[in-house]
Amino acid sequence: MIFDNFQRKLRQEAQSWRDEGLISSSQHEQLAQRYKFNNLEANARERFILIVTGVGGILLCLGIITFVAANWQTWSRDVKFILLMSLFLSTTIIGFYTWREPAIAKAEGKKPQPSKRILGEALMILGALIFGANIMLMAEIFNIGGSTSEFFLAWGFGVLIMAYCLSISSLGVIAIVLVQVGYWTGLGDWWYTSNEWNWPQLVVRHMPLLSWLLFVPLAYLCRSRWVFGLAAFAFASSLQFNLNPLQMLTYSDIPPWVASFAFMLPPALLWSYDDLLFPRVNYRLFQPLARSLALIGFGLIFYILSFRWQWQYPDYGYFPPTSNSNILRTLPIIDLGILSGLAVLQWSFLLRHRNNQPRREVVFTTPLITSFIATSALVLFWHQAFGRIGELGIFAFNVLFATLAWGLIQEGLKLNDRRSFWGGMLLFTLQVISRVLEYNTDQLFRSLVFLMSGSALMIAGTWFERRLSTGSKK
Amino acid sequence: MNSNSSKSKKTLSPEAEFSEKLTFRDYLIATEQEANKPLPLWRLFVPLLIQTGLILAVPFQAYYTDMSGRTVILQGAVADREDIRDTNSVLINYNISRPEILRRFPGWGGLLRQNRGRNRRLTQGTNLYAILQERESYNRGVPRAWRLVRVSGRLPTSLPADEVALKGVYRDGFITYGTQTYYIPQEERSEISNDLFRELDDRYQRRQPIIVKVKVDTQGNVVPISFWVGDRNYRF
Repeated sequence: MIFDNFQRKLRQEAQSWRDEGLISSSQHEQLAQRYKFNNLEANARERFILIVTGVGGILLCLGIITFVAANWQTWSRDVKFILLMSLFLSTTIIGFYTWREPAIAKAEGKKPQPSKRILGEALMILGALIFGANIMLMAEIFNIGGSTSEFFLAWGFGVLIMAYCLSISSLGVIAIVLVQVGYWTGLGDWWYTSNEWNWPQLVVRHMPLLSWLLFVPLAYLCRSRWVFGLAAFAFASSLQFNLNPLQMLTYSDIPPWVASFAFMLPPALLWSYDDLLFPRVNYRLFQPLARSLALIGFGLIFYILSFRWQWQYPDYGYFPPTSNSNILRTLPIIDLGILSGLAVLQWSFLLRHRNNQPRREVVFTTPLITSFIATSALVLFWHQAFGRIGELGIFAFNVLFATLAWGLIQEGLKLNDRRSFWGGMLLFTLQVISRVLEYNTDQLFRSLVFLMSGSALMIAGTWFERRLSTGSKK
Repeated sequence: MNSNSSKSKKTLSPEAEFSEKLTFRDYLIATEQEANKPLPLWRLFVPLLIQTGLILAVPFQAYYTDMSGRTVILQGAVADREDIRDTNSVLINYNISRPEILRRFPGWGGLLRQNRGRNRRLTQGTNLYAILQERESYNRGVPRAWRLVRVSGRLPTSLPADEVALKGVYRDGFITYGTQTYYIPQEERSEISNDLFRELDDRYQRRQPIIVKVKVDTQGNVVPISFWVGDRNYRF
């Protein structure tokens, strides 16, 4: 963008070609249209204005902040209040009108200025930040002590509403990040004080459900894969931390199905995800992404559960449940119920429409994924319900992990997909190295394994790349 | 087209067919027109109204507590005198902020048990309620601080008429009740530090006691209103 030397040079060259008679003037015109070198000056001017406005805006903001900071103590409460509110409202409203102007110009058939859209969006983001600062400063002015998680959740939900109404994906990303920060700060409070029933605690408790129901539709409105990915991450991570299944593997006094659900619900939900279930959506926007995320989820879960120490009683970092921290009482049954219902719905839809799956299912077919889910759920359930089967569990999850790696490699080979091939290879190497390091083998064997896996990786890599290049030549 | 593609067409629904050919980028371009329509004004003003409401909820809470809350008098001290010069603010610690004082009152043991605190200590972020009893007396125009009766882990459902519960949060060795920071206006700065340092000279090494008037709502939320240093009153 900034280095438009090519266009400048091309314009010079094209002019000389036309003057020399190499090309006709109509051809010159076509070239000019194709490479857009007719209005280079205007573009440069616009860009310059944008840069100057940006730098000036930053200086302006700094000036305002310094002025406010210098006079903050001397102003009365009312002055501060009016100042904060007017700053917030004016920034957001000006931002909106600037952001909307190119769209109106386009609708009226005039030439839109795309830089105004960027400027307007930047102002909207600034407005979102001022919104958060306003909440915090109001609390300070009026001597209200709130928790950090309360502040971040209120801020995040406020920005989320704005993102929904305007379908701006950057605001959506900011909102999800803010709500996540609120969740993480609220999580600690929740673990220690489960006797509280205020709204941040409720939000933290139902975070998996909320993030699925609130963030996923936003991804459609914003048409953003980032929003979808973050929503899926927020959902899966909050489910893990709310149910805390890793600790539960060694508990005996909780319902045995909890760990199975916590581990298998995210990949099951993501794998069976189908955009067509939404009304008025007629294109599978996020299904490929959801499936990749499901595979990543499988990889993480299998890898973690293939370690020995997950299946034994931990000696440290473990405190037995007491009456106050009774996990049973705080178990989010509602969330699990609704989300499992959703998963069942999606799976039935998937099975009904098996014939017209958009993506070619080469290795990771529905039966294989079903067996992944069923095996791990069954092993975890058995481990908790009927008796400790630590050894079998470790073995089962190692097999599952290896199958996943093998499947990825197979898929990479069959579809000539570099990413899944390398993903599979890396998973495989990771497993070998982890097992060798975990089971205290002697030094010689270790070095041998490292040498072997390194050379295997190199050979496989070069072989695959050569195969890929010959395949593309054909 | 060849027979292969026509065969696959039969099995695919129109949507799936559409999806297979289109990439995400194509979809973005195809819906560009639809997505970049100029938005109606309510799309801005509805969320803006909600955001404004969220901001206004903070002062509203303060006014609500101020109007409907009960006045409670607390005894405190300035935590660190150096604060005044460095940050233009003083942090006031109440007597009931100190665990070593609360420990002597009924309900502390139950709180510890409930809290599964280790080493006889509370865990970070624990919520607790201090129940205070009113004392009607004045000392040179300054009211006397209320008396601590007991400590509880839950908000008491019913209390005698002369008792009130204050909600506190345990963090870093202290229990915080609402905000305890007073930002000193420019013109008061020399006055307030004079007050504090004069008292320091008088009875050296003893912390200057401060009497704080707060409002408490039914949920135990505390909003500070004003405080006395000596017989001089400062509004928060």
